[in-house]
Amino acid sequence: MWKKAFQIATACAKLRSTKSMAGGQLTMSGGAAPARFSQTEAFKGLRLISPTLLYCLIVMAAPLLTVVLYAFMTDTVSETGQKIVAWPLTFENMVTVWTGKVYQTIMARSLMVSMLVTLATVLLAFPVAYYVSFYVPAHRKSLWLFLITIPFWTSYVVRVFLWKVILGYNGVINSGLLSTGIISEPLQAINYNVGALVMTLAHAYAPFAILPIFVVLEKIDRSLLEAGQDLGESRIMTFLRVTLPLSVPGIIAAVLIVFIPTVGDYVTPDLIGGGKLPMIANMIEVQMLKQNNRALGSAIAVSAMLIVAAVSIIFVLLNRRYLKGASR
Amino acid sequence: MKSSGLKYYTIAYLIFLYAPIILLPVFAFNDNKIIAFPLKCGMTKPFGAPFGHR
Repeated sequence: MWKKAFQIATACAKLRSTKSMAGGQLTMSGGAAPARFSQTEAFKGLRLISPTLLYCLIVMAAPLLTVVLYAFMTDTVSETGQKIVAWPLTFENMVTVWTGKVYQTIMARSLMVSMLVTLATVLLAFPVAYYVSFYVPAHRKSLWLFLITIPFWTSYVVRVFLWKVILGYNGVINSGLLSTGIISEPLQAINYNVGALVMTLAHAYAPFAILPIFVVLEKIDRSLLEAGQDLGESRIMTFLRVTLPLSVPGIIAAVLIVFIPTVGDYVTPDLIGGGKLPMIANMIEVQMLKQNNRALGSAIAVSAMLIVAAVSIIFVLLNRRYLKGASR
Repeated sequence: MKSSGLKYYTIAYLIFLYAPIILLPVFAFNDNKIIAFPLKCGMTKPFGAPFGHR
């Protein structure tokens, strides 16, 4: 993309200089190449974007490249007795991560939990987005969207902690049921398990699923639904054959927005899982901060990134049929 | 109207979204060591804590 923009800018600059030469205004012929380059529009353009470009490189690319580089280095103890990341580039840590039973189990759990969360969030969110888009009067839509986003004005950690308060062993549900005499012992099926994790994360990521689906549903031409019903389809068949395929781009966006961050979620497994259900981010935290193995931690992080990228790409490719239709 | 089912579902979903937020002020008035029902009402104590009253 950069290359193309640069080419266009250079072409524009050339065109301009030939014009001005024809007009007899430009008398300077030849001269040092760097001096001429500094006069071009391409240079001006690059100079204009360079602060932001530099900022992007420092803030986004540098940490990522560091993690990738660390993943192929090794943890050693320096002469002063401190743990450092040392030079020889090896695949040692990557092999450890990809063959280790612990890492495989925890990565599999992270993927399973975030897939369940994605499924739950998108399935629960779709009817809400559908209701707001199709049944709420136009002047009330923003009020409904506002109502949906209000619970997310508090901190993420506070919300997760409150789910622990609700679902925990001494939590609201258990103590409420105990005090009314419905149960005689606290329920253990609702706390410190994958179900509680999924419920908390499905709550935390709800607006990220509702909003993209709502946007896509809003764009659907209502006359298509009318046409579907005029041609003799039932309401359910119209929904399945018109509304649902047209809303797939939004569903894909929602799936990716929910799936990608939940794989790396750190707070929820720590608080809701009670430390018994660590996910990949907890593993990275243990290696990076507690054990001070930054190379191994980076290797886990890079592996997790690759797996998430692969799963997301496969998901998008499986659904590319619907995405093509949307861009036309 | 066919939308009534969807409407009730959406309201139930909103209750799910608001559940933790509703509990936040409820437990602000709780003066117990553990966060659980029944509430031990000691309204002044938790609100005094940020200002150094213990």
